[in-house]
Amino acid sequence: MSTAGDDRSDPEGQNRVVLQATNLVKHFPITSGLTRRQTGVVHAVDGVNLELHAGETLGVVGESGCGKTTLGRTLIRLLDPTDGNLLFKGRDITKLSANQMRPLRQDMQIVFQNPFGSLDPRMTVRDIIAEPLRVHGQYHRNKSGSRIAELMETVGLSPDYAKRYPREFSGGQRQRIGIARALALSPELLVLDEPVSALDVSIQAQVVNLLKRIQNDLHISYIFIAHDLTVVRHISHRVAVMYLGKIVETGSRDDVYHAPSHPYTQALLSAAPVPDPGVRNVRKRIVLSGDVPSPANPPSGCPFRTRCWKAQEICAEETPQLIDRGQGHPVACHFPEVDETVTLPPGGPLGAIGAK
Amino acid sequence: MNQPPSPDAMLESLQTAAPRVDGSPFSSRLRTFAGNKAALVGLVILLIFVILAVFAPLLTSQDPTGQNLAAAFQPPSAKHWLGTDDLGRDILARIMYGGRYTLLIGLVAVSIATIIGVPLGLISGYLGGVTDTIIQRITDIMLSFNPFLLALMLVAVFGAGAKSVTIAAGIGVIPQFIRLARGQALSIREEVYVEAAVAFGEKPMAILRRHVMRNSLAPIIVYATLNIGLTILVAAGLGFLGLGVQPPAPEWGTMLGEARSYIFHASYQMTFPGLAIFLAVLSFNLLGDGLRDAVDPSLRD
Ligand SMILES: Nc1ncnc2c1ncn2[C@@H]1O[C@H](COP(=O)(O)OP(=O)(O)OP(=O)(O)O)[C@@H](O)[C@H]1O
Ligand code: SF4
Ligand SMILES: [Mg+2]
Repeated sequence: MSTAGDDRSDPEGQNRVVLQATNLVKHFPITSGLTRRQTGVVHAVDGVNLELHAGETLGVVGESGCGKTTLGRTLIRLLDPTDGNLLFKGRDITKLSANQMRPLRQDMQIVFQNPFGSLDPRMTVRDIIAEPLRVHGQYHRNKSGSRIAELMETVGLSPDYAKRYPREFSGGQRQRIGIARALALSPELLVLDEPVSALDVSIQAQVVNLLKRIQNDLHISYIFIAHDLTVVRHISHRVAVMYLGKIVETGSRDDVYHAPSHPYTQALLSAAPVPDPGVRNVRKRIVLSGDVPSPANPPSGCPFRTRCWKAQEICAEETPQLIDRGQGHPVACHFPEVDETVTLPPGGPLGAIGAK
Repeated sequence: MNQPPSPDAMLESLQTAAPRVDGSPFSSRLRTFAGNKAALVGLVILLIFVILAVFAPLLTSQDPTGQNLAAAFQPPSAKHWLGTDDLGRDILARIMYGGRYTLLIGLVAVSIATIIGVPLGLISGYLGGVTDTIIQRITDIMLSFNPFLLALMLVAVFGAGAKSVTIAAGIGVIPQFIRLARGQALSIREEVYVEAAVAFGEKPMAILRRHVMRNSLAPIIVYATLNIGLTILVAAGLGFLGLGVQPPAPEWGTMLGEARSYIFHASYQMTFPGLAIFLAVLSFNLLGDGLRDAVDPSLRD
């Protein structure tokens, strides 16, 4: 528990660790038949280590089904971890009961992937945003109106809309309502589960900029989940690339974008769209063959070996550890090599982000 | 017996369109309902019965219970539009006053079933686990009898009379409401907005009340409307057997029972209460169907 000790020595500092996951595992049992006998296990999250500092954004990137949502939910104990350890502000929350977790929920919130399902259709925007306040006894009929208006303004919604129902809003606006609700209790940690994937590209930039501004103003830590590397580029301080429930490469934003060393990261980067045709033509394009293996039956050794063009015998025998092998940041590959030919030029479809 | 659709079938048809339930504003649902001729017919029949029952003292000068043996067994005439019964009472007046019993029994019985069955079903579906198992076992046992049989057994315990018939008919349909509400809770439990409520620390019972219940109300109201017809039939059946509302009170089922002995020489004494029951049940079924279509546009052709 040395981390917890470090926290106390620097309780308010920049480098304070807000969240630490050690060897986090989440398995879902596969049951079949009337007796619900267990016939297998989905390895949705399979031994994840991560650390999130105050005011920092960790981008978590990976293809659909690699376990990002499960990781995000497990990190804030919406799911119970199968194994591993979770420290929130130095406190072990791995085994806390629902009742013990309740007061802590003020400090950790989530914005969901699907803005259409995440708002109760029978509540007005005002009630939706007021609900967390009410639950934690912070709602006062007379005084909370201004707090709700303030939250709506923070996310760029006119407080005039407070009496409307979710169905009257577009996806982008709904996501803003979801963000306002998540901010209502002034959390320190916000899990953003693909907050912009369901939105039009033009609106994605607005919402990401909004999130960036909120982070600057309120000093919140973000886990920002996305399925491609372009979205998280401008908002992330650090990035973790996930494949089949495992982090395969992690480092600072520059490490991952300028010195990608895991074949999977390189493939993801090379597949990212680039608007400039000149750059597009000289960039190397890595096309992955095959499908993602089922997390119910992951390959032995390196999870990526079934699609990796560099796979050797050892890749099937030994799981590569997530360690620095001389690239300057941890990579889970037996044969990591920096490949700069796939790096993304700044800009991209979300180029407007961070430009201001 | 004219049974409303089973809760499971109802649920399935309602759920496939669940997102759309809220996608269309109230006014458009109202238009759907108004555009449904059958539902309007149901509403009109029902309104007529309600008006006849409520304003009976103003609409007829005849006494529904006063006997006049000299005027017994009169066929329909200008004075007695629907004729008189074996004790010389005006059948029209009896049907008008009797509507008070029938409609009230249907309404109160279904309210009982809703108030008891819906919370049990919602708790069962939302909490799951042992609670669910226990509630479901009891429901299964109750469901193995049909509503009429269940009500009949209960009347045997409570004794005859308006009050016990109402309670018995209500309890008779409770298991159906438990089933429906449980199914609703099972599906709403998976909604992201419920997970959001868990994420900001809302307690299970509060989630149940504020999110799960509110969002399952529409199909439950539809089902309740359909079930009023069923409970009316159950109550009338008990009345026919002499176990329901006791004479001389003019409950329609009881009237049918009394008329049974004279079926061959005064069949109209049986026809009109029977017709009244039929129309009342029909009106609730048409109304319920219309409501369902309004709540669930996917079923419209
Ligand atoms: N409740 C559950 N029960 C069983 N399996 C689950 C459950 N939730 C997720 N899974 C499985 O776990 C794996 C990871 O799912 P998860 O939703 O975390 O992926 P994801 O990276 O968020 O994908 P996406 O980009 O599609 O949102 C998938 O194979 C999924 O089928
Ligand atoms: S460990 Fe082997 S299979 Fe896995 S990514 Fe590296 S080279 Fe490819
Ligand atoms: Mg997901």
